[in-house]
Amino acid sequence: MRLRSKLTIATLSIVLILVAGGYASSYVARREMRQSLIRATATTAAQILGSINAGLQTQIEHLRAMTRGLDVREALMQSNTDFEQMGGIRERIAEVDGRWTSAAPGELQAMAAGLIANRLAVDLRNRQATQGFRLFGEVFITNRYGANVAQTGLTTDYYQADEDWWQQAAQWGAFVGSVEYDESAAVVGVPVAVRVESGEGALLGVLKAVLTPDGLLAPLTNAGILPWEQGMELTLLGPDGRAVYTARQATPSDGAGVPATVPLPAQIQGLSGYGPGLDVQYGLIGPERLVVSVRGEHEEGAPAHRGHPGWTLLVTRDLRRALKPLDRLQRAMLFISLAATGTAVAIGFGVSTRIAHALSQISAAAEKLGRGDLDARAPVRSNDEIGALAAGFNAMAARLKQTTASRDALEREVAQRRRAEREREVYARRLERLNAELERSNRDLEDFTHTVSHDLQEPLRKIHSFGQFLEEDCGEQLPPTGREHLHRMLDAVLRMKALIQHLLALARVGTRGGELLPVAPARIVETVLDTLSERIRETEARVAVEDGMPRVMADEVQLGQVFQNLVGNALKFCTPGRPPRIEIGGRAEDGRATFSVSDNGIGIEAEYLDEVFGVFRRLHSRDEYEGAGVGLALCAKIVHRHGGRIWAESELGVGTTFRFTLPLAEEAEEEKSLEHQ
Amino acid sequence: MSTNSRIEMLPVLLVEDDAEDIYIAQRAFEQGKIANPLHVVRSGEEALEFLQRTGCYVGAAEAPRPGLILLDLNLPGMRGHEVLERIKQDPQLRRIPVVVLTTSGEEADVCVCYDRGANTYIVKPVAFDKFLEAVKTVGRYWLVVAKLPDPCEDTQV
Repeated sequence: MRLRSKLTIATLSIVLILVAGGYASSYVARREMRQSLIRATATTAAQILGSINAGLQTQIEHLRAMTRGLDVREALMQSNTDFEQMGGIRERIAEVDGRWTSAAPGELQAMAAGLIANRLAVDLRNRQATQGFRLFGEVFITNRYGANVAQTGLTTDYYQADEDWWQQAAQWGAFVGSVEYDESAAVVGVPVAVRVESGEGALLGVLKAVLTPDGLLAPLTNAGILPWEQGMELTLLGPDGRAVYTARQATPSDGAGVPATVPLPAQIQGLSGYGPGLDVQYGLIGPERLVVSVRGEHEEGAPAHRGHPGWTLLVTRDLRRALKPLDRLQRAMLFISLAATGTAVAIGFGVSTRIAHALSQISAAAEKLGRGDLDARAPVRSNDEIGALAAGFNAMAARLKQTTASRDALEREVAQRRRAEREREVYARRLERLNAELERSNRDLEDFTHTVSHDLQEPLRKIHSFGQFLEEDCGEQLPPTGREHLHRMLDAVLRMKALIQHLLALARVGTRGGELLPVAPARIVETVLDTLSERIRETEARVAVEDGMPRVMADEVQLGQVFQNLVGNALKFCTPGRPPRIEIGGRAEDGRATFSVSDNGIGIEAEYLDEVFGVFRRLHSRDEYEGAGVGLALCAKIVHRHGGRIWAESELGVGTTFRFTLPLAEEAEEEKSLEHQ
Repeated sequence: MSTNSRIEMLPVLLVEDDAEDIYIAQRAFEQGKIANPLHVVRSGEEALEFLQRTGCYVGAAEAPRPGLILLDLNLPGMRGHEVLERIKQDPQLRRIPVVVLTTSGEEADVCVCYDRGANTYIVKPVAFDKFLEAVKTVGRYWLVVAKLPDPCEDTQV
């Protein structure tokens, strides 16, 4: 799988996990919130029911307070007294009640007119109007015998002591009934009854009122608890399950005026923790319609007016509305998730594309490098790890190139050295061959010189000998010119012999030269001057030798020959009438020894300064100066054999200076010691 | 001149192939007034035959034991060096002084000859008068001045 796909999938997975997590948490949050909504609804419902109960108790207390009024007590005591005085109370009451219950509505009006119009009734109506009794649809009071004493409206019967509410109120002090349609008051209401007592606590009668739902809920409305929220319904059910009140409709909806039965959820779950005697349950109608029912259980055996009156409060609310913010949040989250996913995928794709591109460039460069292209480089585009990788790759490639280059250079050098060595070998062989040739040629030369010295001289000797014999034997028979010719001939033979000797000497410079050893020139010069002492004396020459001439590497005999020839020349080529002055010097210069022999002789013309070193080169006739013209040639040959240079400086008629160079002994010794190291 | 008859009697052997040189030598003997008989052989081989009395020199009369040998180095066939060597290796002959007469003044020749027992080495001068002088000097020295063992006794030491 390509790196890009992997990275994209990885990014996508992370985002999906995040989205799933978000959704899961939002789901859990929604569920929890639903639960807490249910609980909050239940709590509120319990509070409302509590408020209703409290309101009921308050109303009962109002009624009680009213019964304690003197006029009520007095009126009842009066009525009771009247009944006791009349006697036959039961019969009378039964007779009146019989009349009332069997009477037509129109007749009942007339029958009850006295009770409705009496003072107490008027007072009750006043109170009903002014002191809040309007909450009570109907109020009436009976005496202790159960007979009506005063009433604000019509009642259907006259005798009440047989009624449950009358007995309960008489016995327990109060009664709260179930919701019902009170025909006489023509309202849906809750009958409540309180016992009327004398100051001493004796039963005086019972007051009954019908409390309307508005009255019950007025405190809630006043307190701002109601209306609750839009879409929320509040229904109060009596103990028998019939609706006392719904917040949606002030009165039950059916035309008969009978309280409607509220539909309940099919499945009901209980909730606990809302206080003693509170049975809290909830259920759902459809997916989102919550119904919470709170019922105050009437305690077993407890008086009807104590505790909860056994009512049930149903709170219905639409959870969707309540959870709307959460849904909005969820939608926002969905949108954000989608956006995040898109962004993540885009970024992941982009990043992975970039990474994959950079990596593929590096890998392409690596492939090129692998094929031997040492100049392959990966582009460094970023400052991150990939950039570092590319840079690292480039550094590696550069090092590789360097290593390879130096290896190549090394190989080249090795090859070069091998070639040089082969060449050297070739040269060495050639040199060997040349050496052999040289040796052979030297031997040839030696043979030649041997031949010359023997064979060329043999005839000369004979010519000379027989010439002499001729002169000795026939000299007297020859004319003087003949003898003169013979002498010239013999002279020529001797010169020829001298030439051969010089030639041999010249040849021997190379072949008969000794080893070059460190020598002190001063001593050699001394010997030479000693050899030449006679001629020096004859010519009255003055010879000066410089002190401290450097030691040189030379063949002592040959160096002596050089000095001898040069000094000899200086003595020979002197200006007539001017005794020769000769200066011999030598000093170390530029790593070499330079010697000089100067004279004050006839000098040499500048154009001949080089020619004088040629073999048999003469500048003067034998008549002027003796010599074969070999001396300087010999000097040149010897100096050259020593690796030196010889030249002449001269001024015609003033003198000549011959200079020559030789290797210094110290330098040569140093070189030798270096070689040994 | 010496009056010593024995010395005058001692013959000199000249080993020389060149006719002119033989003549020059004979003339030098003559002019130098050296009376010793001069026997001439023309090659190294002949010289050895003469000395060892072999070949055509069988018989003492024809080949007297010389008191001095004059040896040219430059000989056809057996060279002078070898002749010298043979003589000096031969117990019968080695006491006979050998004077090398040659035109070669080569140091190598000189050394080799003395190494092999030459008694004198003379470079023939070109001028005859000089040669004559040399021959007289040498002859006088070896034939008159120097005391040599008696060649006739043939005693082995």
